[in-house]
Amino acid sequence: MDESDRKYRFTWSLLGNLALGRPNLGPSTRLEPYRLMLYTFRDVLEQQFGTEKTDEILYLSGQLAGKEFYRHVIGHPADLNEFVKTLQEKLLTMQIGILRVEKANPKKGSFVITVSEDLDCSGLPETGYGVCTYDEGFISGLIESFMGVPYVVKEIDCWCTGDRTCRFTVDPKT
Amino acid sequence: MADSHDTDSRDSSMCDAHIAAVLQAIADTLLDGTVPEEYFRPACAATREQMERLLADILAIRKFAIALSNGDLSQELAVKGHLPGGLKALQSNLRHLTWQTRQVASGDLTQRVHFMGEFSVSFNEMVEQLARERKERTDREEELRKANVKLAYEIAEEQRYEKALNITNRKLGLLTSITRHDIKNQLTVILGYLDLLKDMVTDPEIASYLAKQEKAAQSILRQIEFTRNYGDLGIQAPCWQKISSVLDAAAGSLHMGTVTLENHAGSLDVYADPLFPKVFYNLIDNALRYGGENLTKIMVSTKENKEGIIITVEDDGAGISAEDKKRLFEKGFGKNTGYGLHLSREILSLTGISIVEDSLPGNGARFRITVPKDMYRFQKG
Repeated sequence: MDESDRKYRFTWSLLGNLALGRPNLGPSTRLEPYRLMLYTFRDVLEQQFGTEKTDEILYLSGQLAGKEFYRHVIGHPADLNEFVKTLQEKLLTMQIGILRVEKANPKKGSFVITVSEDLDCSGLPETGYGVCTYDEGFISGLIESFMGVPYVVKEIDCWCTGDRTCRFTVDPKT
Repeated sequence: MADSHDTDSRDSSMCDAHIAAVLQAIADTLLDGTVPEEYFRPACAATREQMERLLADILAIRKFAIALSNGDLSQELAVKGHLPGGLKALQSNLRHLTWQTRQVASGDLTQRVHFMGEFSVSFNEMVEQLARERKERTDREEELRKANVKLAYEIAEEQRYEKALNITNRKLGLLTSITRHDIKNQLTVILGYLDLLKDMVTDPEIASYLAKQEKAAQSILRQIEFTRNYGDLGIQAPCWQKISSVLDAAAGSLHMGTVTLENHAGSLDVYADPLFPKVFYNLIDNALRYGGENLTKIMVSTKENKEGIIITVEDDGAGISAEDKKRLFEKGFGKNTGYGLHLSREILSLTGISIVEDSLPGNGARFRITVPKDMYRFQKG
Protein backbone atom coordinates (compact mmCIF):
# COMPACT_ATOMS: atom_id res chain seq x y z
CA MET A 1 0.00 0.00 0.00
CA ASP A 2 1.21 3.45 -0.86
CA GLU A 3 2.13 5.41 2.30
CA SER A 4 -0.05 8.33 1.26
CA ASP A 5 -3.08 6.05 1.01
CA ARG A 6 -2.76 4.77 4.56
CA LYS A 7 -5.47 5.46 7.08
CA TYR A 8 -4.10 3.87 10.26
CA ARG A 9 -0.48 4.99 10.50
CA PHE A 10 0.58 4.79 14.15
CA THR A 11 1.49 7.95 16.04
CA TRP A 12 2.28 8.27 19.74
CA SER A 13 -0.58 10.73 20.06
CA LEU A 14 -2.97 7.82 19.57
CA LEU A 15 -2.24 6.85 23.17
CA GLY A 16 -4.20 10.00 24.01
CA ASN A 17 -4.26 12.44 26.88
CA LEU A 18 -5.21 10.10 29.69
CA ALA A 19 -5.31 12.79 32.37
CA LEU A 20 -7.89 14.61 30.28
CA GLY A 21 -9.77 11.58 29.01
CA ARG A 22 -9.83 9.48 32.18
CA PRO A 23 -9.90 11.91 35.10
CA ASN A 24 -11.60 9.38 37.38
CA LEU A 25 -10.41 5.96 36.17
CA GLY A 26 -6.82 7.02 35.53
CA PRO A 27 -4.26 5.53 33.09
CA SER A 28 -4.35 1.90 34.39
CA THR A 29 -6.67 -0.95 33.62
CA ARG A 30 -6.83 -4.64 34.50
CA LEU A 31 -4.75 -7.05 32.46
CA GLU A 32 -7.66 -9.15 31.26
CA PRO A 33 -8.95 -6.62 28.67
CA TYR A 34 -5.47 -6.36 27.22
CA ARG A 35 -5.18 -10.12 26.85
CA LEU A 36 -8.78 -10.30 25.61
CA MET A 37 -7.89 -7.88 22.84
CA LEU A 38 -4.55 -9.52 21.99
CA TYR A 39 -5.85 -13.08 21.76
CA THR A 40 -9.08 -12.23 19.97
CA PHE A 41 -7.02 -10.30 17.43
CA ARG A 42 -4.76 -13.31 17.08
CA ASP A 43 -7.76 -15.60 16.65
CA VAL A 44 -9.32 -13.52 13.89
CA LEU A 45 -5.98 -12.88 12.19
CA GLU A 46 -5.31 -16.60 12.05
CA GLN A 47 -8.74 -17.25 10.59
CA GLN A 48 -8.18 -14.58 7.97
CA PHE A 49 -4.47 -15.05 7.14
CA GLY A 50 -3.27 -18.34 8.60
CA THR A 51 -0.94 -19.08 11.52
CA GLU A 52 2.36 -18.13 9.92
CA LYS A 53 1.11 -14.77 8.65
CA THR A 54 -0.51 -14.09 12.03
CA ASP A 55 2.80 -14.65 13.81
CA GLU A 56 4.51 -12.35 11.32
CA ILE A 57 1.91 -9.62 11.87
CA LEU A 58 2.19 -9.91 15.65
CA TYR A 59 6.02 -9.81 15.50
CA LEU A 60 6.03 -6.73 13.26
CA SER A 61 3.39 -5.01 15.42
CA GLY A 62 5.52 -5.67 18.50
CA GLN A 63 8.59 -4.36 16.67
CA LEU A 64 6.79 -1.13 15.77
CA ALA A 65 5.70 -0.81 19.41
CA GLY A 66 9.30 -1.42 20.59
CA LYS A 67 10.67 1.30 18.31
CA GLU A 68 8.00 3.81 19.39
CA PHE A 69 8.50 2.89 23.04
CA TYR A 70 12.25 3.45 22.70
CA ARG A 71 11.75 6.81 21.04
CA HIS A 72 9.17 8.16 23.46
CA VAL A 73 9.98 6.43 26.77
CA ILE A 74 13.60 5.28 26.86
CA GLY A 75 15.19 8.47 25.56
CA HIS A 76 18.89 8.53 24.70
CA PRO A 77 20.89 6.18 26.95
CA ALA A 78 24.66 6.78 26.85
CA ASP A 79 25.71 3.12 26.94
CA LEU A 80 24.41 -0.43 27.17
CA ASN A 81 24.28 -0.40 30.97
CA GLU A 82 22.17 2.73 31.02
CA PHE A 83 19.90 1.32 28.31
CA VAL A 84 19.30 -1.93 30.22
CA LYS A 85 18.78 -0.11 33.51
CA THR A 86 16.32 2.39 32.02
CA LEU A 87 14.42 -0.36 30.24
CA GLN A 88 14.23 -2.43 33.43
CA GLU A 89 12.91 0.56 35.36
CA LYS A 90 10.32 1.50 32.75
CA LEU A 91 9.02 -2.05 32.37
CA LEU A 92 8.80 -2.28 36.13
CA THR A 93 7.11 1.05 36.81
CA MET A 94 4.65 0.52 33.93
CA GLN A 95 4.04 -3.01 35.26
CA ILE A 96 4.85 -4.63 31.93
CA GLY A 97 7.23 -7.27 33.29
CA ILE A 98 10.45 -7.96 35.20
CA LEU A 99 13.35 -7.83 32.76
CA ARG A 100 16.55 -9.62 33.66
CA VAL A 101 19.74 -10.09 31.69
CA GLU A 102 21.14 -13.62 31.86
CA LYS A 103 24.04 -13.35 29.46
CA ALA A 104 25.56 -10.51 27.49
CA ASN A 105 28.26 -10.67 24.87
CA PRO A 106 28.82 -7.01 24.02
CA LYS A 107 31.44 -7.93 21.42
CA LYS A 108 28.98 -9.99 19.38
CA GLY A 109 26.00 -7.90 20.48
CA SER A 110 24.21 -11.07 21.64
CA PHE A 111 22.10 -11.43 24.76
CA VAL A 112 19.92 -13.88 26.63
CA ILE A 113 17.22 -12.11 28.60
CA THR A 114 14.20 -13.17 30.61
CA VAL A 115 10.91 -11.46 31.29
CA SER A 116 9.02 -12.64 34.36
CA GLU A 117 5.39 -11.83 35.17
CA ASP A 118 5.06 -10.99 31.53
CA LEU A 119 2.06 -9.03 30.28
CA ASP A 120 1.20 -11.51 27.54
CA CYS A 121 1.59 -14.98 28.96
CA SER A 122 2.17 -15.28 32.72
CA GLY A 123 -0.58 -17.41 34.23
CA LEU A 124 -1.85 -18.74 30.91
CA PRO A 125 -2.62 -22.46 30.61
CA GLU A 126 0.07 -24.68 29.13
CA THR A 127 -0.33 -24.78 25.39
CA GLY A 128 2.87 -26.60 24.51
CA TYR A 129 4.12 -23.70 22.38
CA GLY A 130 5.40 -20.20 23.10
CA VAL A 131 2.91 -17.38 22.76
CA CYS A 132 5.06 -14.27 23.18
CA THR A 133 5.42 -13.44 19.49
CA TYR A 134 4.38 -9.83 20.10
CA ASP A 135 7.02 -9.65 22.87
CA GLU A 136 9.68 -10.98 20.50
CA GLY A 137 8.94 -8.16 18.10
CA PHE A 138 8.76 -5.60 20.94
CA ILE A 139 12.22 -6.59 22.22
CA SER A 140 13.70 -6.59 18.70
CA GLY A 141 12.33 -3.07 18.11
CA LEU A 142 13.91 -1.83 21.34
CA ILE A 143 17.31 -3.44 20.72
CA GLU A 144 17.40 -2.36 17.08
CA SER A 145 16.69 1.22 18.11
CA PHE A 146 19.57 1.18 20.58
CA MET A 147 22.12 -0.82 18.55
CA GLY A 148 21.24 0.67 15.17
CA VAL A 149 21.24 -2.71 13.35
CA PRO A 150 18.47 -5.28 12.73
CA TYR A 151 17.98 -7.96 15.38
CA VAL A 152 16.30 -11.33 15.62
CA VAL A 153 14.59 -12.21 18.89
CA LYS A 154 13.46 -15.76 19.62
CA GLU A 155 11.53 -17.00 22.62
CA ILE A 156 13.08 -20.25 23.84
CA ASP A 157 11.12 -20.72 27.10
CA CYS A 158 7.61 -19.54 27.83
CA TRP A 159 5.05 -19.81 30.59
CA CYS A 160 2.86 -21.63 28.13
CA THR A 161 5.46 -24.37 27.68
CA GLY A 162 5.56 -24.94 31.42
CA ASP A 163 8.36 -22.53 32.27
CA ARG A 164 8.03 -19.94 35.01
CA THR A 165 9.74 -17.17 33.11
CA CYS A 166 9.97 -16.24 29.43
CA ARG A 167 13.48 -16.50 28.01
CA PHE A 168 14.60 -14.85 24.79
CA THR A 169 17.73 -15.06 22.69
CA VAL A 170 18.64 -11.72 21.13
CA ASP A 171 21.08 -11.78 18.20
CA PRO A 172 22.03 -9.45 15.37
CA LYS A 173 20.36 -10.41 12.11
CA THR A 174 22.91 -12.10 9.85
CA MET B 1 -17.93 -67.74 38.07
CA ALA B 2 -14.95 -69.27 39.76
CA ASP B 3 -12.95 -69.08 36.51
CA SER B 4 -13.97 -65.45 36.00
CA HIS B 5 -12.97 -64.56 39.57
CA ASP B 6 -9.62 -66.29 39.14
CA THR B 7 -9.02 -64.44 35.86
CA ASP B 8 -9.90 -61.06 37.44
CA SER B 9 -7.65 -61.78 40.37
CA ARG B 10 -4.78 -62.84 38.09
CA ASP B 11 -5.26 -59.70 35.89
CA SER B 12 -5.29 -57.48 38.95
CA SER B 13 -2.10 -59.07 40.28
CA MET B 14 -0.42 -58.65 36.90
CA CYS B 15 -1.53 -55.01 36.74
CA ASP B 16 -0.13 -54.33 40.22
CA ALA B 17 3.10 -56.06 39.24
CA HIS B 18 3.36 -53.88 36.09
CA ILE B 19 2.72 -50.68 38.04
CA ALA B 20 5.31 -51.74 40.64
CA ALA B 21 7.83 -52.48 37.84
CA VAL B 22 7.20 -49.06 36.23
CA LEU B 23 7.55 -47.30 39.61
CA GLN B 24 10.77 -49.24 40.29
CA ALA B 25 12.17 -48.17 36.92
CA ILE B 26 11.28 -44.51 37.68
CA ALA B 27 12.75 -44.76 41.20
CA ASP B 28 15.98 -46.36 39.87
CA THR B 29 16.35 -43.67 37.20
CA LEU B 30 15.73 -40.89 39.71
CA LEU B 31 18.00 -42.26 42.44
CA ASP B 32 20.83 -43.82 40.42
CA GLY B 33 20.91 -41.39 37.50
CA THR B 34 20.80 -44.19 34.91
CA VAL B 35 17.95 -46.03 33.26
CA PRO B 36 18.08 -49.65 34.50
CA GLU B 37 19.27 -52.05 31.81
CA GLU B 38 16.44 -54.47 32.51
CA TYR B 39 13.09 -52.98 33.31
CA PHE B 40 9.50 -53.64 32.50
CA ARG B 41 8.61 -52.39 29.05
CA PRO B 42 4.89 -52.05 28.26
CA ALA B 43 3.71 -54.14 25.34
CA CYS B 44 1.98 -51.19 23.64
CA ALA B 45 4.49 -49.27 21.48
CA ALA B 46 3.00 -45.84 22.23
CA THR B 47 2.97 -46.48 25.98
CA ARG B 48 6.50 -47.87 25.78
CA GLU B 49 7.68 -44.76 23.94
CA GLN B 50 5.93 -42.57 26.49
CA MET B 51 7.67 -44.40 29.31
CA GLU B 52 11.08 -44.17 27.64
CA ARG B 53 10.54 -40.40 27.15
CA LEU B 54 9.53 -40.01 30.79
CA LEU B 55 12.68 -41.78 31.98
CA ALA B 56 14.83 -39.67 29.63
CA ASP B 57 13.16 -36.49 30.96
CA ILE B 58 13.76 -37.61 34.55
CA LEU B 59 17.42 -38.16 33.72
CA ALA B 60 17.73 -34.74 32.05
CA ILE B 61 16.01 -32.94 34.96
CA ARG B 62 18.17 -34.83 37.48
CA LYS B 63 21.37 -33.90 35.61
CA PHE B 64 20.25 -30.27 35.34
CA ALA B 65 19.36 -30.07 39.06
CA ILE B 66 22.71 -31.56 40.13
CA ALA B 67 24.64 -29.19 37.85
CA LEU B 68 22.65 -26.27 39.28
CA SER B 69 23.39 -27.36 42.85
CA ASN B 70 27.10 -27.43 41.94
CA GLY B 71 26.94 -23.84 40.65
CA ASP B 72 27.11 -24.83 36.98
CA LEU B 73 24.77 -22.38 35.24
CA SER B 74 25.73 -23.32 31.70
CA GLN B 75 23.45 -26.37 31.31
CA GLU B 76 20.41 -26.30 29.04
CA LEU B 77 17.21 -28.19 29.74
CA ALA B 78 14.89 -28.97 26.84
CA VAL B 79 12.20 -30.56 29.02
CA LYS B 80 9.04 -28.50 29.43
CA GLY B 81 6.67 -28.42 32.38
CA HIS B 82 6.36 -26.92 35.86
CA LEU B 83 9.16 -28.87 37.56
CA PRO B 84 11.81 -28.18 34.91
CA GLY B 85 10.32 -24.70 34.52
CA GLY B 86 10.89 -23.99 38.22
CA LEU B 87 14.50 -25.17 37.95
CA LYS B 88 15.04 -23.07 34.84
CA ALA B 89 13.55 -20.03 36.62
CA LEU B 90 16.08 -20.59 39.42
CA GLN B 91 18.88 -20.90 36.84
CA SER B 92 17.64 -17.76 35.14
CA ASN B 93 17.71 -15.81 38.42
CA LEU B 94 21.20 -17.06 39.23
CA ARG B 95 22.44 -16.18 35.75
CA HIS B 96 20.95 -12.72 36.10
CA LEU B 97 22.59 -12.26 39.51
CA THR B 98 25.91 -13.40 38.03
CA TRP B 99 25.55 -10.82 35.28
CA GLN B 100 24.58 -8.12 37.79
CA THR B 101 27.53 -8.96 40.03
CA ARG B 102 29.85 -8.67 37.02
CA GLN B 103 28.32 -5.28 36.25
CA VAL B 104 28.89 -4.15 39.83
CA ALA B 105 32.48 -5.44 39.69
CA SER B 106 33.05 -3.44 36.51
CA GLY B 107 31.89 -0.29 38.31
CA ASP B 108 28.16 -0.09 37.51
CA LEU B 109 26.71 0.62 40.96
CA THR B 110 23.22 1.37 39.65
CA GLN B 111 22.35 -2.36 39.57
CA ARG B 112 19.41 -3.38 41.77
CA VAL B 113 17.76 -6.73 42.41
CA HIS B 114 13.97 -6.86 42.49
CA PHE B 115 11.54 -9.49 43.77
CA MET B 116 14.06 -11.91 45.26
CA GLY B 117 13.04 -11.56 48.89
CA GLU B 118 15.69 -10.86 51.53
CA PHE B 119 18.42 -11.32 48.94
CA SER B 120 17.16 -8.25 47.07
CA VAL B 121 17.32 -6.16 50.24
CA SER B 122 20.86 -7.32 51.11
CA PHE B 123 22.18 -6.97 47.56
CA ASN B 124 20.67 -3.52 47.09
CA GLU B 125 22.00 -2.34 50.47
CA MET B 126 25.47 -3.60 49.55
CA VAL B 127 25.47 -1.82 46.19
CA GLU B 128 24.09 1.39 47.74
CA GLN B 129 26.83 1.25 50.37
CA LEU B 130 29.46 0.75 47.66
CA ALA B 131 27.99 3.69 45.73
CA ARG B 132 28.09 5.88 48.85
CA GLU B 133 31.71 4.92 49.56
CA ARG B 134 32.68 5.53 45.96
CA LYS B 135 31.05 8.95 46.05
CA GLU B 136 32.83 9.82 49.29
CA ARG B 137 36.13 8.66 47.78
CA THR B 138 35.47 10.66 44.61
CA ASP B 139 34.60 13.73 46.69
CA ARG B 140 37.79 13.32 48.71
CA GLU B 141 39.84 12.91 45.54
CA GLU B 142 38.23 16.03 44.12
CA GLU B 143 39.01 17.96 47.30
CA LEU B 144 42.56 16.67 47.16
CA ARG B 145 42.85 17.65 43.51
CA LYS B 146 41.61 21.17 44.28
CA ALA B 147 44.00 21.40 47.25
CA ASN B 148 46.84 20.28 44.97
CA VAL B 149 45.96 22.90 42.39
CA LYS B 150 45.86 25.54 45.14
CA LEU B 151 49.13 24.26 46.55
CA ALA B 152 50.78 24.30 43.14
CA TYR B 153 49.60 27.88 42.69
CA GLU B 154 50.94 28.82 46.13
CA ILE B 155 54.25 27.10 45.43
CA ALA B 156 54.54 28.96 42.13
CA GLU B 157 53.72 32.19 43.98
CA GLU B 158 56.27 31.33 46.64
CA GLN B 159 58.87 30.62 43.97
CA ARG B 160 58.14 33.98 42.35
CA TYR B 161 58.60 35.74 45.72
CA GLU B 162 61.78 33.77 46.37
CA LYS B 163 63.18 34.73 43.00
CA ALA B 164 62.34 38.40 43.59
CA LEU B 165 63.88 38.17 47.06
CA ASN B 166 67.05 36.63 45.66
CA ILE B 167 67.40 39.45 43.15
CA THR B 168 66.84 42.03 45.91
CA ASN B 169 69.35 40.25 48.14
CA ARG B 170 71.91 40.19 45.38
CA LYS B 171 71.43 43.94 44.82
CA LEU B 172 71.66 44.62 48.56
CA GLY B 173 74.76 42.43 48.81
CA LEU B 174 76.38 44.33 45.95
CA LEU B 175 75.47 47.68 47.48
CA THR B 176 76.76 46.58 50.89
CA SER B 177 79.97 45.26 49.40
CA ILE B 178 80.66 48.50 47.50
CA THR B 179 79.75 50.63 50.53
CA ARG B 180 81.93 48.48 52.80
CA HIS B 181 84.82 48.78 50.37
CA ASP B 182 84.45 52.57 50.18
CA ILE B 183 84.22 52.96 53.97
CA LYS B 184 87.31 50.81 54.44
CA ASN B 185 89.18 52.93 51.89
CA GLN B 186 88.21 56.11 53.69
CA LEU B 187 89.14 54.56 57.06
CA THR B 188 92.54 53.62 55.65
CA VAL B 189 92.97 57.27 54.63
CA ILE B 190 91.89 58.47 58.12
CA LEU B 191 94.20 56.01 59.86
CA GLY B 192 97.09 57.04 57.52
CA TYR B 193 96.63 60.70 58.34
CA LEU B 194 96.25 59.92 62.03
CA ASP B 195 99.56 58.07 61.84
CA LEU B 196 101.21 61.12 60.22
CA LEU B 197 99.64 63.44 62.80
CA LYS B 198 100.93 61.32 65.70
CA ASP B 199 104.49 61.96 64.53
CA MET B 200 103.85 65.70 64.21
CA VAL B 201 102.02 66.29 67.51
CA THR B 202 104.02 66.92 70.65
CA ASP B 203 101.20 68.15 72.89
CA PRO B 204 100.28 65.18 75.08
CA GLU B 205 96.66 66.24 75.34
CA ILE B 206 96.22 66.37 71.55
CA ALA B 207 98.18 63.11 71.28
CA SER B 208 95.69 61.41 73.64
CA TYR B 209 92.78 62.69 71.50
CA LEU B 210 94.46 61.31 68.40
CA ALA B 211 94.93 57.96 70.12
CA LYS B 212 91.21 57.86 70.95
CA GLN B 213 90.36 58.75 67.35
CA GLU B 214 92.61 55.96 66.09
CA LYS B 215 90.99 53.47 68.51
CA ALA B 216 87.52 54.48 67.30
CA ALA B 217 88.59 54.15 63.66
CA GLN B 218 90.02 50.68 64.35
CA SER B 219 86.74 49.70 66.02
CA ILE B 220 84.80 50.84 62.95
CA LEU B 221 87.16 48.78 60.81
CA ARG B 222 86.49 45.64 62.90
CA GLN B 223 82.75 46.20 62.76
CA ILE B 224 82.89 46.64 59.01
CA GLU B 225 84.80 43.36 58.80
CA PHE B 226 82.12 41.76 61.01
CA THR B 227 79.34 42.79 58.62
CA ARG B 228 81.28 41.06 55.86
CA ASN B 229 81.23 37.82 57.85
CA TYR B 230 77.57 37.94 58.85
CA GLY B 231 76.07 39.77 55.91
CA ASP B 232 74.61 36.56 54.46
CA LEU B 233 72.65 35.58 57.59
CA GLY B 234 69.32 33.92 56.59
CA ILE B 235 69.76 34.69 52.91
CA GLN B 236 70.81 31.22 51.74
CA ALA B 237 68.54 28.21 52.24
CA PRO B 238 69.41 25.90 55.20
CA CYS B 239 71.33 22.71 54.46
CA TRP B 240 72.59 19.55 56.18
CA GLN B 241 75.97 20.06 57.87
CA LYS B 242 78.24 17.55 59.54
CA ILE B 243 79.10 18.72 63.07
CA SER B 244 82.47 16.91 63.22
CA SER B 245 83.67 18.61 60.04
CA VAL B 246 82.37 22.00 61.20
CA LEU B 247 84.26 21.63 64.52
CA ASP B 248 87.47 20.52 62.86
CA ALA B 249 87.30 23.43 60.40
CA ALA B 250 86.71 25.94 63.24
CA ALA B 251 89.60 24.55 65.30
CA GLY B 252 91.82 24.54 62.22
CA SER B 253 91.24 28.25 61.58
CA LEU B 254 92.03 29.29 65.18
CA HIS B 255 95.30 29.28 67.10
CA MET B 256 94.60 26.41 69.55
CA GLY B 257 98.07 26.38 71.13
CA THR B 258 98.13 23.63 73.76
CA VAL B 259 94.38 23.50 74.06
CA THR B 260 92.84 20.28 72.70
CA LEU B 261 89.44 19.82 71.08
CA GLU B 262 87.61 16.63 72.06
CA ASN B 263 85.17 16.03 69.27
CA HIS B 264 82.49 13.42 70.12
CA ALA B 265 79.88 14.56 67.59
CA GLY B 266 80.28 11.36 65.55
CA SER B 267 78.14 11.10 62.42
CA LEU B 268 75.64 13.76 63.50
CA ASP B 269 74.30 16.07 60.75
CA VAL B 270 72.28 19.19 61.54
CA TYR B 271 69.93 21.07 59.22
CA ALA B 272 70.90 24.73 59.69
CA ASP B 273 71.73 28.04 58.07
CA PRO B 274 74.96 27.99 56.01
CA LEU B 275 76.46 30.33 58.68
CA PHE B 276 76.13 27.51 61.22
CA PRO B 277 79.97 26.94 61.34
CA LYS B 278 80.30 30.51 62.71
CA VAL B 279 78.49 29.39 65.88
CA PHE B 280 81.16 26.82 66.71
CA TYR B 281 83.89 29.19 65.59
CA ASN B 282 82.56 31.79 68.06
CA LEU B 283 82.20 29.29 70.92
CA ILE B 284 85.75 27.95 70.47
CA ASP B 285 87.13 31.46 69.88
CA ASN B 286 85.44 32.71 73.09
CA ALA B 287 86.84 29.76 75.06
CA LEU B 288 90.34 30.51 73.76
CA ARG B 289 89.99 34.28 74.38
CA TYR B 290 88.46 34.18 77.86
CA GLY B 291 89.26 30.70 79.20
CA GLY B 292 92.37 31.91 80.91
CA GLU B 293 95.64 30.13 81.43
CA ASN B 294 94.01 27.07 83.07
CA LEU B 295 92.17 26.20 79.86
CA THR B 296 93.41 22.85 78.53
CA LYS B 297 90.51 21.36 76.57
CA ILE B 298 87.22 22.06 74.81
CA MET B 299 84.77 19.14 74.66
CA VAL B 300 81.85 18.62 72.31
CA SER B 301 79.36 15.80 73.03
CA THR B 302 75.80 14.89 72.05
CA LYS B 303 72.81 13.29 73.78
CA GLU B 304 69.32 12.54 72.42
CA ASN B 305 66.17 13.13 74.43
CA LYS B 306 62.43 13.28 73.63
CA GLU B 307 62.67 16.86 72.26
CA GLY B 308 65.59 16.14 69.94
CA ILE B 309 69.35 16.14 70.45
CA ILE B 310 71.51 18.30 72.71
CA ILE B 311 75.00 19.31 71.57
CA THR B 312 77.10 20.34 74.55
CA VAL B 313 80.16 22.55 74.07
CA GLU B 314 82.10 22.92 77.34
CA ASP B 315 85.60 23.81 78.49
CA ASP B 316 87.70 23.63 81.63
CA GLY B 317 88.64 27.32 81.58
CA ALA B 318 87.82 30.22 83.89
CA GLY B 319 84.06 30.07 83.27
CA ILE B 320 81.58 32.91 83.10
CA SER B 321 80.53 35.09 86.00
CA ALA B 322 76.93 35.04 87.13
CA GLU B 323 76.63 38.72 86.20
CA ASP B 324 77.85 38.15 82.63
CA LYS B 325 75.63 35.11 82.16
CA LYS B 326 72.52 37.30 82.33
CA ARG B 327 73.55 39.40 79.33
CA LEU B 328 75.64 36.86 77.43
CA PHE B 329 73.43 36.79 74.31
CA GLU B 330 72.56 40.50 74.24
CA LYS B 331 73.54 42.50 71.20
CA GLY B 332 76.71 44.54 71.81
CA PHE B 333 77.59 42.78 75.07
CA GLY B 334 81.16 41.51 75.26
CA LYS B 335 84.74 42.50 75.08
CA ASN B 336 85.33 41.93 71.35
CA THR B 337 82.67 42.99 68.77
CA GLY B 338 79.81 42.20 71.14
CA TYR B 339 77.89 40.50 68.39
CA GLY B 340 79.30 36.94 68.33
CA LEU B 341 76.94 35.11 70.71
CA HIS B 342 73.97 37.28 69.81
CA LEU B 343 74.32 36.41 66.14
CA SER B 344 75.06 32.77 66.99
CA ARG B 345 71.66 32.56 68.65
CA GLU B 346 70.07 34.25 65.60
CA ILE B 347 71.76 31.80 63.19
CA LEU B 348 70.51 28.82 65.17
CA SER B 349 66.97 30.14 65.61
CA LEU B 350 66.47 30.24 61.83
CA THR B 351 65.89 26.46 61.88
CA GLY B 352 64.37 26.22 65.37
CA ILE B 353 67.62 25.45 67.22
CA SER B 354 68.16 27.03 70.65
CA ILE B 355 71.27 27.75 72.73
CA VAL B 356 71.76 28.38 76.47
CA GLU B 357 74.72 28.71 78.78
CA ASP B 358 74.21 26.60 81.92
CA SER B 359 77.60 26.05 83.51
CA LEU B 360 77.83 25.59 87.25
CA PRO B 361 79.65 28.24 89.32
CA GLY B 362 83.36 27.58 89.59
CA ASN B 363 83.45 25.43 86.46
CA GLY B 364 84.34 26.28 82.88
CA ALA B 365 81.79 27.56 80.33
CA ARG B 366 79.10 25.15 79.10
CA PHE B 367 76.78 25.82 76.16
CA ARG B 368 73.89 23.55 75.34
CA ILE B 369 72.50 23.62 71.81
CA THR B 370 69.12 21.89 71.43
CA VAL B 371 68.31 20.66 67.90
CA PRO B 372 64.63 19.66 67.45
CA LYS B 373 63.58 16.35 65.89
CA ASP B 374 63.58 16.26 62.08
CA MET B 375 66.39 18.86 62.11
CA TYR B 376 69.15 16.32 62.70
CA ARG B 377 70.18 12.88 61.49
CA PHE B 378 73.06 10.43 61.72
CA GLN B 379 74.74 9.97 58.40
CA LYS B 380 77.75 7.76 57.88
CA GLY B 381 80.52 8.86 55.49
